Amino acid sequence: MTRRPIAMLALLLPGLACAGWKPVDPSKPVGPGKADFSVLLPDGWLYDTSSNSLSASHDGIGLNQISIAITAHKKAFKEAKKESTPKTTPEDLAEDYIAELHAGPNALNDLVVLSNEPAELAGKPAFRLHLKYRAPQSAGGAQMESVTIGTALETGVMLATYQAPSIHYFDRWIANFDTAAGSLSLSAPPK
Amino acid sequence: MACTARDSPSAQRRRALAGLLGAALFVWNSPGRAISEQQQRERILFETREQEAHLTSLGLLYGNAGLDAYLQSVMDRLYPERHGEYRVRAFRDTEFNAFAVATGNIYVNTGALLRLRNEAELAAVMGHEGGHLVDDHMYRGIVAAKSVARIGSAFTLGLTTTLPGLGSLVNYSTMAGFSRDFEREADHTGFERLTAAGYDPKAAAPVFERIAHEVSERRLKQPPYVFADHPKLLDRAHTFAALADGSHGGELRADEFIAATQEARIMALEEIHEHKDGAELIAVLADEGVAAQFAPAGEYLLGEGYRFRATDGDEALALERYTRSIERYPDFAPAYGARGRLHARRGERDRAIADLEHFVALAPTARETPFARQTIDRLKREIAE
Repeated sequence: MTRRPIAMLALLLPGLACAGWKPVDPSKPVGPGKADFSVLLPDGWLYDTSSNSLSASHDGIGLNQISIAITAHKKAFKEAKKESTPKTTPEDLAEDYIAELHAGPNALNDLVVLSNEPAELAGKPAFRLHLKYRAPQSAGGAQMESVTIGTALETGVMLATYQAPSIHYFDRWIANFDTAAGSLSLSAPPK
Repeated sequence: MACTARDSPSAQRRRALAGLLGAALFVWNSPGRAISEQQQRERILFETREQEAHLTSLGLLYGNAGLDAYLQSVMDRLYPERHGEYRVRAFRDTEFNAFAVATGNIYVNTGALLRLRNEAELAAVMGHEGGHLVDDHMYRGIVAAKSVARIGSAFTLGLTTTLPGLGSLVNYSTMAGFSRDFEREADHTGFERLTAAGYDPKAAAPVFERIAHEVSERRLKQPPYVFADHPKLLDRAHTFAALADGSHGGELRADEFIAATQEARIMALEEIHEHKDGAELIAVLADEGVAAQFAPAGEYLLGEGYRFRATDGDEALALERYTRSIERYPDFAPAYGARGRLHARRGERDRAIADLEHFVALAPTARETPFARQTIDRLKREIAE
């Protein structure tokens, strides 16, 4: 491990501890209270459902992060000035998603689409995008990779994303993300 | 599929062009402003050559010897006494632009070739750029020390975002006054050369009208520099129209122009499509007959332009263009795919399935085919339910 990830870990882990993050119980589906989805997360991770989305990480959110959210169609691709609908095909949705990543003040640097293929999410037709980009200089400028699986629902666009630095972290947890995404269902988590 | 971010090449271009302008500023701001004319000229050339080498190293030249030779032949026809002295090369950029630098080199964007209709129009643009060179505008600008339009006549596009502060200098300094004079002078020199070379003098005005229309349609904050907004674009079009009034015609050489430039024009068009710039696609293709020049893709790409722009009424226009493409070129797969997706978005399942199945049959290995199959399966499931 290089010094930079160690420094990032030192910075980020206390943040996780303070933000209401809980350890994952791999047998128990979890999801944010205000959104109707639940997912089984990988063992040994921490997760947070205090907002409308779900975030999970093993080593710190700068090092590996799974995030799942449903965003209203009008807001999902706001920077790209695109509006999806429940009928938007996964192919169009992927196009809008890429446009969103290119747009606005937080546009990703050096974005490269490594693959874009059909997939399923919560039993619905989806896209699966594998991307490479560079983190902002303010966050270390590391080479990052992400996989996003997305689908259009009646209520909005559901995106499940795993992102991690290319070196060491991405490959280590991508299979866990795919397993977690495969467990995603459109029902609220059990109380 | 692998596609790089849209802003990378353009950012490279901006940086490289900013370098050329920076070279001019270096020369202007350096303590040696009192040096002799010869020394000053040598410094300008040295700095400009450095920046041109940088442009080349970034791979921003189109690099097709045949196309460069054709562009050179037009330049040599316009300025026969400078034969080979003014060197012309195609520059990879989708914007409607061209620029000259102090070394006597002229760069014509592939985006300019895309928008021009014949050799006479190309000659009007190159005649103007040659006018800046033959009238010694770069050096005159520097010694006058009132403008930053020195080394390059045409390279401020995008600089305001690259070099904060410099943009203001470009736009609000005394440059405007000088440039107005220089642009007029270059316009007149270019027009004289155009007519002397036997081109149709009426070719110049439509170029300015077209760029004025595009600037308005795309709501560009500033026009491409070769068509600098001072004097106003339409005023310049009217000036050229008046100059050409009563002339006895001349050559247009449309076929020769298309034959020599078509590969570069198609590449520029594909790059705009890849950037998903709907307004630019529409600006380039919407004029009657232009889409047909890019058969079989032209009508489909114009439809894509409307899809990307996505303002009120654009969906219907996209559908119309996809349909026209299918009617004219029934074996051209992308139009079926695009129309099928559009039908799917509108919930027109049967039509979507028919188009997408046609697409899959015509393009079984295309990158989009797995998505088409996915959509067909979903729509069939929905119908069965």
